[in-house]
Amino acid sequence: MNTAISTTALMALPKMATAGGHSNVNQKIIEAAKSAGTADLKGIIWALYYSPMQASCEKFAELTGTNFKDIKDISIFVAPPAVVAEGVAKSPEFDLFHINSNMIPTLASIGMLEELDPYMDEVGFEYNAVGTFDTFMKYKGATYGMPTDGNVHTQYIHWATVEKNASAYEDKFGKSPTWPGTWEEEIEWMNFFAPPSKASENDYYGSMNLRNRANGATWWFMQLYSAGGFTFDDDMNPTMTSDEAVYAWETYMKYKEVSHPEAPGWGTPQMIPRMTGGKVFSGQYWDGIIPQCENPEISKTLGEWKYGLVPGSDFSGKRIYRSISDPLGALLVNKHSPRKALAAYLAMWLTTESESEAIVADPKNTFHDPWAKSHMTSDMVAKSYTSSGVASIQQNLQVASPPIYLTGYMEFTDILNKNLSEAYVGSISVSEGIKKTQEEFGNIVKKTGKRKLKAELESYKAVMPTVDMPA
Amino acid sequence: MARSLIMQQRRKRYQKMVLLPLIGSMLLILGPALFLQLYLSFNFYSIYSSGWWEAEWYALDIFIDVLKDTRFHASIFRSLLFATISTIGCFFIGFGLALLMYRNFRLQWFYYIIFIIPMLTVPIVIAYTAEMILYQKGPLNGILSMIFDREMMIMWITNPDIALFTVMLMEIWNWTPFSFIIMMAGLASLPKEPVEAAQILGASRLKIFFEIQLPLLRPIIILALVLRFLESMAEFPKTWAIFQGGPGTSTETIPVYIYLNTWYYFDWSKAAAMSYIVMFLMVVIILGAIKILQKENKRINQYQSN
Repeated sequence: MNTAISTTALMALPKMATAGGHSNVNQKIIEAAKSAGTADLKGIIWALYYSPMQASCEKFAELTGTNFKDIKDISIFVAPPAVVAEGVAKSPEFDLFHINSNMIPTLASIGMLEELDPYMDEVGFEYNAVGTFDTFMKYKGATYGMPTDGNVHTQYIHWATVEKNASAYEDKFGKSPTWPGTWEEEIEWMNFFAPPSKASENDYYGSMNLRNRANGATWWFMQLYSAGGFTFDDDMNPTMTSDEAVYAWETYMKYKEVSHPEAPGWGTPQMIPRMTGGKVFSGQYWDGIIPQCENPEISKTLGEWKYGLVPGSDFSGKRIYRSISDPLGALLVNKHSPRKALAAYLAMWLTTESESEAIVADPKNTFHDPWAKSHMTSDMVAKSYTSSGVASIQQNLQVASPPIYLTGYMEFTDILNKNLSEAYVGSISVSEGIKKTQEEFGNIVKKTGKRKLKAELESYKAVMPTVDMPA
Repeated sequence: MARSLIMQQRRKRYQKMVLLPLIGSMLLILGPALFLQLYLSFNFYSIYSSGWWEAEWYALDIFIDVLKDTRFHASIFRSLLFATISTIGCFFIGFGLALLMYRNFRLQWFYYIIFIIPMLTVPIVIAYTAEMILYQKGPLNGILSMIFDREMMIMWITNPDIALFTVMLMEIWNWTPFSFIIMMAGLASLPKEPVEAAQILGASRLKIFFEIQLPLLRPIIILALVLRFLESMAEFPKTWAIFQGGPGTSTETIPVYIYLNTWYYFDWSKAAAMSYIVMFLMVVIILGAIKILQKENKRINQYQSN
């Protein structure tokens, strides 16, 4: 055994499962919380995320005397500025933040996050996450978050349309439609099964992928990473002009021909009804929509969808699949809170097998998605997501990447979103977009500090999947 | 003579009595924020440093950076364009409604309420409701198709060439009542004698409007335009709720760009410097407006004393 392994490296290793079962861990968490006193905890959390957690929070309150009822209801998309403001002010007001875990590097850099490893070691807690999903909670070897939401992009195909046109497909391509393996194949499928020339007439468009300024980059990253690309080289120079990045830009733009003309202005409130209403054919989307597509009360397309692995790319010379987790809802503990220990115990409680299963399996509030190994074999979860839905989530979790897991995540992604949006609507050319992104990324690196960001590269790369395709 | 001097002194003392507490409380509330903003605009502050006072002295470099920033120039241009067109739109429609409404008639109160409802509606509600109305296959295009008897598929929200114009339309709908109320008050405060005298002399209504009422209304009109213009420059909720600066950067106005710098890029020093530059621009506009108003008041006083 190599005794020269550093503490940092040890802390970065996945925690080994404890013998004796999970109820043992639950009990240890309760006892640790009881010995830390009682409090009324306060958090910044979107009500849509909080609702399915309420029952578990009440159970915790009954067992320990510590409540979590006082919440500041802010959408996960707009919570980061509010949380950063709390951090800069070193405010002790809030104990917990439920926020996109891709903000961990930024928030840890402000010095506002409590390290959770000591609490985890105290009770023998481990995530038991699928793939490398637990690494999304780590930064520079320390753990800062408890995931509640296994948000990962999953492939959706309106299979009813495929079945209806399967023989026509076979006649044209000389093979049965099985599953699009690459981005190019997906576009080919979209052109065939939802031809753009008839899209307006039938109000049935090929792509459900978002192309608005706020979200477009989420899709672009999948295309970059599956081409074998990365956002920066080892010296923290942006790689936006690399062949892989150019491929990602060009592939992203190719979807325009199969997208609704109003896609540049649509977000999830516009796209989800189109999905459940059967007005789009295919795309990658947050897995939380699977229960909505399978919900007989709201879906007009019940049983018409198939879910699976997102497309990959052969650009690098081998097939690589990359999905994305963004935003990834996680509970982070405020270092400046005098109740941080209790907040950490509650966060772990909500992430235990028994509690997290109930949270992610909620059929109505589908904002928390499955992420742990135990969720993949849970009947409760399968009831909401269907077995094929769960199987597809498990596949995509194994190849889930972050957008940019660095300090300055919001700035990098907004710049990329801006330039992608400008190129998509034709205000600038793709080559101008690439050039601007390269330059602006370089400016951000300079402003944030190249040395600092280089030191974070290890954490960023640690979050990337370790396999090219799921098992 | 002595009496008028005493009156003047009393008036000045009264003005100070009324204004000083107001100025004092504003300084107390705004002062710390303005001071911190000034400090940040001369010192580069990073949210990753341990305190405000560790910010590095940059002198005018941050301001120079901002002034060289082409994205800032573009956002200033968009804001000025947006504010100018929406102000003119609000004014003409508001004034027109005021002209129809300023004389008493039956059910005047009902129309008054209807006309001011848009101003009472929360901007975010306007944004989300408008978004549904403005979809390509939404009600607005439906109505336009009926009127023009052909399919109208205008992309109000997703065409970068008209997105800013869409925000202008929402702004005009939202704030026309403001101009309406000011012009109603202006029309109601006009002296009746010049109008009656002109009517006796046989002047037409148009002549009375253009040669008597409009010149007397000029100070009110300038006030309505300036106040509306300043408010429009600060418009944010409707723009951000629907567009977030997009599609592309077509609706990236100054408030949106400052917001992005503050809360997405966390570049508080740059945002502070931008805010001061914009404030300076607004102060120049206000001073110009005050000068014009003072000239107008002098002209009216001369006219009335004649």
